[in-house]
This record gives sequence, C-alpha cells and structure tokens, in this order.
Amino acid sequence: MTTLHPLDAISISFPVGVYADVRLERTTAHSIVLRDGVLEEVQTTTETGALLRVLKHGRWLYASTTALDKIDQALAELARSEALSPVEATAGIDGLAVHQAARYVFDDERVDHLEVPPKLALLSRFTGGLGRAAIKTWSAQWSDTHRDRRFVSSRGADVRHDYQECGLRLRFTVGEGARAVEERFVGADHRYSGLVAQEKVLLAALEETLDKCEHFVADAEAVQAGTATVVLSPEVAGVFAHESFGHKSEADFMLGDPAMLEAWAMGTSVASALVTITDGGADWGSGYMPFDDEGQPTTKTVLIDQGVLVGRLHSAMTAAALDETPTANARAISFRFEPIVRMTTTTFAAGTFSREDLFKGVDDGYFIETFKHGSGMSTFTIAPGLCWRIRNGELAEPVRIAVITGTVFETLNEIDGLSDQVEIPFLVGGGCGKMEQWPLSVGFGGPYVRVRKMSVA
Amino acid sequence: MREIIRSETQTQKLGVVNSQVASVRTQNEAQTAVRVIENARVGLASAVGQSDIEALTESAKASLIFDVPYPVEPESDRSHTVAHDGDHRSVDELVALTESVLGALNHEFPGFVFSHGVEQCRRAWHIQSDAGLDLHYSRDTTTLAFVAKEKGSGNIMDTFVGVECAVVDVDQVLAEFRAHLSAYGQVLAPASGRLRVVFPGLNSMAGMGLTQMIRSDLLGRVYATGASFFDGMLADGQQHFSSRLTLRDIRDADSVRVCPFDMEGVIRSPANLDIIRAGEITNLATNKRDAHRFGLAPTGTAIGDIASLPRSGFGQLAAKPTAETLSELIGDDGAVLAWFVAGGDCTRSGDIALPAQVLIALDGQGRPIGRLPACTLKGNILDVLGGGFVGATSQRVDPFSDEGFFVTHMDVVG
Repeated sequence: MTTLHPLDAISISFPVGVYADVRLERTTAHSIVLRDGVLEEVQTTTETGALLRVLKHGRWLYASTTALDKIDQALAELARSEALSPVEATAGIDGLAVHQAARYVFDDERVDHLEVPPKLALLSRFTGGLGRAAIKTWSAQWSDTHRDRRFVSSRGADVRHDYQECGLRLRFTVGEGARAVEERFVGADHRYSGLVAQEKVLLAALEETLDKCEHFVADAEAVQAGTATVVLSPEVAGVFAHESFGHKSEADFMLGDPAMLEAWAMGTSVASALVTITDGGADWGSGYMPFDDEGQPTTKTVLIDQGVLVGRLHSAMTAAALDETPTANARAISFRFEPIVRMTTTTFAAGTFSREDLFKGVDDGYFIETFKHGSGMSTFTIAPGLCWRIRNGELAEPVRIAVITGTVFETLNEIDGLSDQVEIPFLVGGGCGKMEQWPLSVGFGGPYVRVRKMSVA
Repeated sequence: MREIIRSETQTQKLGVVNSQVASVRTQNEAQTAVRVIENARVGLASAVGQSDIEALTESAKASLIFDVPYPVEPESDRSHTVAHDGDHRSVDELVALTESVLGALNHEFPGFVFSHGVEQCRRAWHIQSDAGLDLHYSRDTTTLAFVAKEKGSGNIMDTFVGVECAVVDVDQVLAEFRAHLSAYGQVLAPASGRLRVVFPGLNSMAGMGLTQMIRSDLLGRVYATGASFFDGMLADGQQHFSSRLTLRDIRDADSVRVCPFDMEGVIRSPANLDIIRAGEITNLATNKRDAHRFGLAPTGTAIGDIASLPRSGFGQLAAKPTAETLSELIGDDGAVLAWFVAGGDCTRSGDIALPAQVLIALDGQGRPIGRLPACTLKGNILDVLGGGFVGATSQRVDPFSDEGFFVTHMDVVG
C-alpha cells in the first residue's frame, strides 16, 4: 500500500501540552489541451504538502509546508509561539471524534497511473464533432486528478482517504459576432473506464448540444427584462440551491450575530413547503469526500425539510460556538489553507411532478437549460447559457438572457413545482469559491424546478 | 533551449472571525518549472517545493514526445530586475497592526461583525534561460480586508472594506474604512434610470465585469477565428468607442506595481499596450505562440501560472486619465459607485448586466454619502465605452492603490 499511498509512511511526533493536527495531501493531476485542432499543452503536476494546526491559548496557529521531513520541527515551532495572546474562545476540538480508518476506494483503477495516449485519444474522439462550419473556435481539455489525504491528530486520529476524477471539458463558440453563443460540454467520472463506458451517450449528448446552439444562434432574441415564471434545469437548480441557500447555511456566517441566529432559528419557515434541500459528502460525484478535513466522517445534512429550516453546515468550531451538532463540513481547497465551513454536494430533493406536467403549468415563461456561472449573497445571480421561451406549456423559441436574479427567500418561497427525478451532474474544472479559497470541488443538482416569479434581464 | 521559471511566495495571514484575530497562518512555498524548446516543440515539467532542476529538465525533455508545437523564437540576452518592496512586519507586529485597526472599527461601528483578515505577502518570479534571459520581479504587499456583516441583517455579508498597501498607514486605512462604513449606514431611496456610474478601477470585481468582453473577445485567437464580438474592428480606422477613451494593458513598473515582463519573458517598449486608442481598437492580446499561429503581431501578453504553458491574455487594465479628480467627472447630481458586484455577465450582443450588491451614492465632489438598495447595472459595451463614457481619473481609488476611477453611464434597474 505504501507505494500507492506514500503519505502512509510518514510518522509524526506531536508536541505535548497542546492540541495539534496535521493534514497531509498528495495530488497528481494531468491536463491535456487541444485548441482548434492543435495540441497546445500536456501537463503533469504533483504536489505534496501539509497543513499543520496547533491550538494555543484558544486560537489557531497554522503553517503550510511542502517539507514533509520537517513537520515535527514546524509543529514544535508553532507550539512554542506566543504570537497570539490568550482569549476565551471555543475551538470545538472536544467535538472532534477520534477516528482511525483507511478509505482508499480507487486503488482498482488509478487515473494518475494511466498514460497520456489513451486520454488524448478519448479527448480527440470528442473533438471530431467540433468541425461544424458554425463553430468558430473551440478548446477541449482533458483533466484528471488523484488526491490522497491523511488526517492525523495529537489525540490519536489517523484517517486516510482518496479521491479521483477524470473528464473532458469542451468549450466552443458557435456563430459570429453579436449572435454568437459560447457553450461548454462536460463529461466526467471517477474512473477512466466509467467515462469510456459513457462515451456513446456523451457523444450523442454533445451532438444534441451543438444542434441546440446552432438553433440558438439563428433564432434567439434578447429577453424583455422583467419578472417571469422560470423553470430551472437540474444543473441550474443545483447551482441555485448552492448559491441561493447553501452559502447561507454555512454556520461561520452566523458567528457573533445573535439577531441573525434568531432570524435563522431552527423551525423557521424559509421556503415553499415543496422545498427540501440537503448537503452531503458521502455520495459519489464531484462533491464526494468520505471524511472532512478535521477527520470526521461525512453524512447527509437536511438543511430545509418541506420549507422549514432544520439544519446548517458546521465545522467543529462553529458547531461548538452555536451549540449545535457538527456536520463534517470543514474543508480546504488544498494543504495551503485551513479548513473552513464548505458545502459538499447540495441538492433539491425530488418533487412529485413529471417533467412534462411541470412545463404544462407555464403559460408564458422561460426555461433556463445551462448556466455560465453563479454567485450569491443577499440576492443571488445566475448567468444563464441556453434559454428557451415557454409558451402554453411547451418549449418555444430560444431567448438570450444575461442574468436571472432574486432575493433568496422570496425566490425559495416562489417555487411551486419540482419534477420527480433528481439529476446530479459530475463536474470537472471550476468549483466553488469562498473568500480566498477557490476552486473547491463540489456537487450540486436537483430535479427541474419551477419558480413562479423571478427577475430576468 | 531551456527556460527555468521559479516563483516564491511567503505569506503571513491573520484570520479574523467574529471581529477578533482567531488564527495565524504562515506559508512558504516555492514552485519551479522547466520548459524545453526544441525543433519548434515544447516540453514542460514542474514541481512544488524543493526541486531538482536536472530531473525536471529530463522530465520536460521526455514530454517533447507529445509534439506540442512551439514554433517561436524565445526571448534571449536580457537581464532585468524590478523589486516593489514594502513593509515587512514580524507576526507580532502584524497582530498589533490588525488589532489596532479592528479595535477602532469595533469601537466606531459596533453594529457590524468583521471577518476575513490581514495578509502580508511577498511574491517573486524569476525567468532564466540558456539563451541569456535573466528576469526577476518581486512585490511586497499587506492587504487589510474585512467582510462586514450588519448584525441582524440576515445576510451572509453586507459589504466589505479593504486596501492593498506597500506601506501601511493606519490612519489613512481607517479613514478609508470609516468613509465607506459611514456611508453604508445611510440608507437612501432607490435610484433608477440612466446614471453616472463610477467604477473603482477596472480590475476590481465590478471593473472586471465591465471589461469582461474586452478580455475575452480581444484575444488574438478569438479575433483571428472570426468569433469575436469586435470582428473586423481591429485597426480599421474607425472610432468604435469614445474618442476620449484610451484603454491600456499596464506593464510600466516605474509607475505601477506590476511585473514588467510577461510569461514568455517579453518586456514591451513602450511598456503599456494601447488596446483602444482614442476610440479605435489598436491591439489584441497575442502571445508569441498565438501570433505565429494566426499571423498576428505579438503584443507581449503571455499570462498564466508557471506550471502551464503561457497563454494570451490581458493583465491589469487601466484607462488613460482624462481628468485629475473624480469631482471633475461628476455633475451636481453626483453619481453612484459600484462598490461590490457579484456575478453578472455580458451577452454575445454586448449587453452587460451587473448585479450591484453594494451601490454607494457620491455627492458632486465624489464623496460617499449613502447606500442605495441593491440593483442591476445595465448597458451595452459599445455605449459603456462609447457614448456613455465620461472619463477616467488620475486620482487613485484610495491612497494605496495604483488605479484611478472609471466613470460611465449605465441604466440602474431596481
């Protein structure tokens, strides 16, 4: 196992008299870029490093290092530091359960051990369809990542786990000048063989996307700004769940604000009774993470249950500060950063409508099929890609929409229908940003979601 | 031919949670990359931490097998060193600085919870090659940035205050933060219609939203393939924007704290590149490789991290000043300052929509006087940089910044 997981061989001596933990990380990534038919880059990177934490006088001392042979000295230096004076603060380490576990689930097929040629060949098979005359420029990127993480603490925790993903991301511009549209296409899996198994389905989906883009370029006109009924596709519903509500569920935003805690008291009605939203890292996909970066096993946290606030996301510290149950949502984008409260995979639960019936309930509105990016504070914003007019319950002509926006709670309360199947796309590239930590691999999805009133512009 | 690129980063970050210093993080990291260019092909290898240059060289040579084309003449025979030095405090001193600023904010603005933190950072880049290239750049910055949340607002954040300094002056920092937080506390009636909108430079989140299409559609590759919104407008002798607008990619290290060379080792002369000159589109972002491939003029615009091959792109953008002060560009009715824009987009038709989460009203002298409700700023790129353009200032957005204000007209939609 040691050759597959070299972090296992590292032993650490913790300083006495303080709580300390170390998160070791080894990441190998490959990237292959084709642009307009020319191979532009083949890149391999391997990073090995550690984030050290020492709790002293109620405050945290962190150090990130790539010198794994000097971790003991670095820990000792942190333990000696008197940089921060004592404070009365809750770090929450008493809430950290001590686990010893190894959850290596990708040893059967390590994506980082696969040579470049088959990856390039697979990517090239997807670029064949990009030769359409309407496509002015395109790029195709293969990326794969394998990451080992090991969490070790002065209390005896030793948790080891792995994550990997591989996939292709195509970007293309269809049409010219002001009528052009930029779209992307993503196919991903935890294993190369899984991606190959999807190849035919993905190629067909790519063709369908390109057809839609050509139709969009030919016929889409700018939307009349205002409010309208909107149906969100599963991936757009997912980004809405993530941006509109997920970030508000991160408990570090509650600290020091009793009034906000009161406004966000458990049991408060915050959404339409049709809405249930969960977050969890245990399921496969781009948000998969069996243990968080404090060595706690992830689970599924229900955030909204039938419109009622029932949970929020915690690290050990925020759970202790708010006297709530930890949820194993302490995550960092890499060994360079300390863990903070982050989402894993955030989804709307399924509703009861068939997809067809959901659309039939719209006399005049819009269907948001794809998105470019989203963000959220008191109001959320999603920049859509392909959008379509809905007339008398049927999809009609394409329409250009720059942004859809709304205040979070008003919009959650305007949801009046969800379809009965949840889809969670597997994403590669990009991710969630919070403060200085971007991108973090997360998942999001849901069913088709109908919002009775939303701003479109 | 071999190029060796190194970066070094040393940071000390004080994390602030619930209005007090909660943590200290130190980070020292080195990254090394080797590019081997041979027979018009390139191979690349990189490592984080201690690295063996010869092993990286062998790895880069081995990757030549992939035949990644690089049919350009690398830069050669040039030495250049620029160091933008600044404060360097011990962790104890940094804690004292942070607590003095936080103490004042907590005392004067008890209605807010402050978070995020203060970071002292030294970054250095070095490119050297077998062909005699030897370029060094380093920069010291101390960033004081606090997310401010009004107690009881129900929002995850309400506004922020922040400055990036070479040398910190606590009084000036506090004056900036006070001006914003005081104005934020004065809630004004919604504004609407076509208004003068002030952007705090073109490299903030708001400014990036405004110039998104410039950055994406004036890439040489995009332009050459006919996919650009500005197709056919390059050097066509036509004024597509305001005759008062000159927009530049900035690399003049004598006047601004920027790196003077690009990631292919190019040092431009003149250092700043006019992208738009007096309303005409004059240059694209085209690195050497794209220039060769698409038959365009190279413009010294290779960007990217050192572990990747350079790609074309603009760095720091700035408009040539048309006025000394902001007050010269604002009428008696004042203007609105796009302080914080989250998300937003620009359609392929050039229609920009920027959701302004924090919009500050300015009086005729450019002083912040109150907060307007969140709204969307709308406009078309051809108008925002054309008929709607008011001007740009020599006056910096704050005493520590290299950037001036950019003023244009946009529709404010509630």
